[in-house]
Amino acid sequence: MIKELKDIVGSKNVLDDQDTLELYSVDRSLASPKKPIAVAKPKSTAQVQELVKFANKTLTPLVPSSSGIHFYGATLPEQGGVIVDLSGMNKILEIDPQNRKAKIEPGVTWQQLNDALKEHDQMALNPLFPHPKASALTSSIEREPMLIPKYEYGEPALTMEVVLPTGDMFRTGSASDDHCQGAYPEGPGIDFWRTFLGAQGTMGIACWLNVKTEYRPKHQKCFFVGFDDLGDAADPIYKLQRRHVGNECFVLSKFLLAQIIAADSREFCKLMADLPSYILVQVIAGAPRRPLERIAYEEDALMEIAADFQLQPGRTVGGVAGLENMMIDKLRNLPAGDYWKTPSQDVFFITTMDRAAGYEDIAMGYAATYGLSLNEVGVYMQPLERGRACHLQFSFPCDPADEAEKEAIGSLTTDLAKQLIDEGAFFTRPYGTWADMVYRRSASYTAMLKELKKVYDPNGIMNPGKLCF
Amino acid sequence: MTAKAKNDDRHQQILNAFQSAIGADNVRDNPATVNAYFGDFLPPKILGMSMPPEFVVLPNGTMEVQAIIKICNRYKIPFIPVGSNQWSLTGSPNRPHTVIIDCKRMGKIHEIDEKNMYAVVEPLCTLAQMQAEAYKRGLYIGSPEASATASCIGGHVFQGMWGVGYRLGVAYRNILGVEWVLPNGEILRTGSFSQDADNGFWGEGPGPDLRGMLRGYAGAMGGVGMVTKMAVKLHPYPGPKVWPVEGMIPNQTSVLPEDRFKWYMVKYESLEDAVNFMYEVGRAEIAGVIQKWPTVYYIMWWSNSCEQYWTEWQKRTFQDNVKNAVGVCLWGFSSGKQLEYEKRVLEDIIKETGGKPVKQEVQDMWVPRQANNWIRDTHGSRMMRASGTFLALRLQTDTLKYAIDHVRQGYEWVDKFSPPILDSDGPDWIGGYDFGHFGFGETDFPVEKTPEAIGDLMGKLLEMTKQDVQNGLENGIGPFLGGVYHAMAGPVFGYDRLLKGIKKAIDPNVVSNPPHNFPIEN
Repeated sequence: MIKELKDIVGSKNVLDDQDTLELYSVDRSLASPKKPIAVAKPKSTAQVQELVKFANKTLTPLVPSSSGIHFYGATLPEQGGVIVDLSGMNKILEIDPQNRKAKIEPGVTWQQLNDALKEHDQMALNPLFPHPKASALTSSIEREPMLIPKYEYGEPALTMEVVLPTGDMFRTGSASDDHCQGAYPEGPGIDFWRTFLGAQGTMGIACWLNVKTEYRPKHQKCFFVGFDDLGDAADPIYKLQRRHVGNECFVLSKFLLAQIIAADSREFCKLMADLPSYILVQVIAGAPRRPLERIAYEEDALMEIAADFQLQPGRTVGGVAGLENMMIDKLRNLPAGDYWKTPSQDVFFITTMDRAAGYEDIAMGYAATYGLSLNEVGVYMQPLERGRACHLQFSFPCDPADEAEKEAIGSLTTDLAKQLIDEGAFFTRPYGTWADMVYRRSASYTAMLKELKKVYDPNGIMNPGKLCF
Repeated sequence: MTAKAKNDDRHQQILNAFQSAIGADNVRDNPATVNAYFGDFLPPKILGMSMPPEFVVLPNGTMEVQAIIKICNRYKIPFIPVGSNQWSLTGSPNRPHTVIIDCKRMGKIHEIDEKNMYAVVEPLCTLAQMQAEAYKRGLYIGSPEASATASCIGGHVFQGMWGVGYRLGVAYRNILGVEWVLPNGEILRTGSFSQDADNGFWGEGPGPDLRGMLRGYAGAMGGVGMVTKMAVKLHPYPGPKVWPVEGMIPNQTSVLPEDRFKWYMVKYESLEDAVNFMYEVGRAEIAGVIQKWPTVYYIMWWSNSCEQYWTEWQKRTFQDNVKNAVGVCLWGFSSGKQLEYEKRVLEDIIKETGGKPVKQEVQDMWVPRQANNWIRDTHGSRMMRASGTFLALRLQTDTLKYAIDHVRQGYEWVDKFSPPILDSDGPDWIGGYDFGHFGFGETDFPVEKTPEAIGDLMGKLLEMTKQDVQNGLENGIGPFLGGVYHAMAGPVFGYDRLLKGIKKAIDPNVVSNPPHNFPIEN
């Protein structure tokens, strides 16, 4: 097998030494290690196609991996096989400022994309301060929530080139037609593109993706509002979103905000003492034309809404000096260097903002039974699509070197996820052990997904063991 | 229905099965009824539409729809689900023993969640019905040019390029949870309905998104079963609680509050200049609607009769004033101050791009009577004014720039096929969507509504589509032909194996409106 893999991608691009295999057998989740047989690093769509054809011939599982930065166990080979490491396919194939899109390969990182777009006064629609080395393509097709709910078009993914599990190459939307520029996702045929989203690499291997980009504001203000309770933030955000006010809008617990802005542990402790429990971050940004005038009318609307709720949005919170500039810098340039977030295990799902406080109560109740308080748990609420829904996330710090802590946090997050699902939380991206909990509750959806999988992947070679497959 | 068929044991057996499942009053096989379901806005026998159905059934609720579809599977007879039957190329039977599933008893709005901005509707609930309820709550739902009298669900699973989609997302992104009965009779619930059948607030997942099966560029054409319940997005709306109207149809006008809405009609020397303007407006992230309508639209919408259409055509009021004109409607979502800001920005752009205002008297004709209907479209049927029908030759969605190339190719074909295509003055419709991230180009024109003329044109259109497909050109008019097109295009664009595989998996007896949307037979 190794020889055949080398014939496809070149001898330097196949790794099967034990150290490498150990490295690929784990990620930042609590999933048990799963060792692959080998790692293959293709450099082109044609090589990916050859790998997939080889896998079908030998019935070898293939597990796509884009960047090496993985948090949820999606790239661990449940049934052995070959890791298809796409990090070498890392070109930004096109930046199209006229149509505000970029065509990226799977190995393109958030930092790389953001830096390249700056030159064109554009920015990507990224999730909350992503790991700078994480794949922008994977974030987009795995439907990680973006920070700006003002765009009703909440899906940055446009069109893509996918190698299907049979080895056939397929282009979605208007990219299927070489005369077009790949700006529209629907067709050809039905909306196949949707079936590749949230699929954890089970339905094919995306070799490039056209994503939307947006104007990178040159003028902006960042406002902060503190809350003692998460539930108190919901109604003001509903109002803000309903009036189309602002760009980035999200709520963080002080534990997360402190991690983002603290330079050292001393500063972190001070922030934990000074910050309110929850902080709404609301950016108001200028458009390309008359930017200050836009900021002015949106700021007026923000202040009107704040007055209705007797709130006082400020340019800082908890007396933190320079917070506004610091936040804007991080939003526009993305935090570089070491990842800002303490190693932790996340539980996240989609709900509506009016139900968020109830889920927070449940999560904090579980946290308390494990001796954790709000000072030690990250809470992140991301309004989506004008506040129609929200992404709610709880992050529990977990030292990857401490086996006892890993076991405790593993139990906590599993028990919590079960309870949240029972209470109606919608886990749209069911990673690891959540998949079984979710699919048990949706018999018809699960049955149809399995039928679809058989059509796409008759030999079951793409990342077997994930989702309900 | 022939006497022979009616007396047929099998017919009686199926009739009895339907009657037992949904009640005798809700099953029809009498000639007066079944003949009413023969044909749609094209003359009969176009695209193989050539026979009335054998039964028309009127279920009430998902379980009754499921029972009907299971009966169809047992007897291996085709069914076609119809909504409002407002606009369709594939809603009439094209093979014997067809059952029309008419949703006339399924028109409820199950739920409106005002806070989280969505509604859950049944198939007959129209966009107009939904709009009226939404406005009362300060919310909005769009409607495509096919008119707000279309089914809300139909409007979402069909093409759905409604005007305010420029700012609020076109139809495919406005579908949330869906409950649908698959062709094999199984009930599929997607999005948050998959976990809780009473909670449809979110559309995708869990995991890969099966909403992808429900649509394509032109919908699924009844080929994947029948949607019985859908949660659809509602949007913030700064307009009045009741849609303002003055006068009587057909001369009714609507004037929206000036502190929140403002139309501009701007004309350019060339189509390129007009599209450049559309790009600039999108980049500036302003406006709620931006459309470059073809001249024929202005006349179709303005005229109250075929005679008036051609009188107006000869007067040339519109041809001389709106060629290469773009209509922009600014919305003050946030406040009146937003509207004032957007006016200043738009006026800057008009000046920079060399735009000239369309003559005021023409704007006064168009805006109160027609333009506002792109916000609440009730005039879709006026497309039929000139000749009793209309057709489109080319239709593509990609970038705004590509829309220019596409409609230009359309002009050539319009010339080539004229007659039976009637005078149409370069019928280019270009719409901007997602703040200009993508654009839509279409060539629409009137054509004589005779079986001979339409039949001739459809034959030419099919030939053009074949040529396009052979050249790797994905002319978006093709998907409107359903299975006929996919049989040609599937192998070229690499989706035939997936499409056929899915169809076989969900419709083993090929009963869901064959051959649409999937070109396989049993």
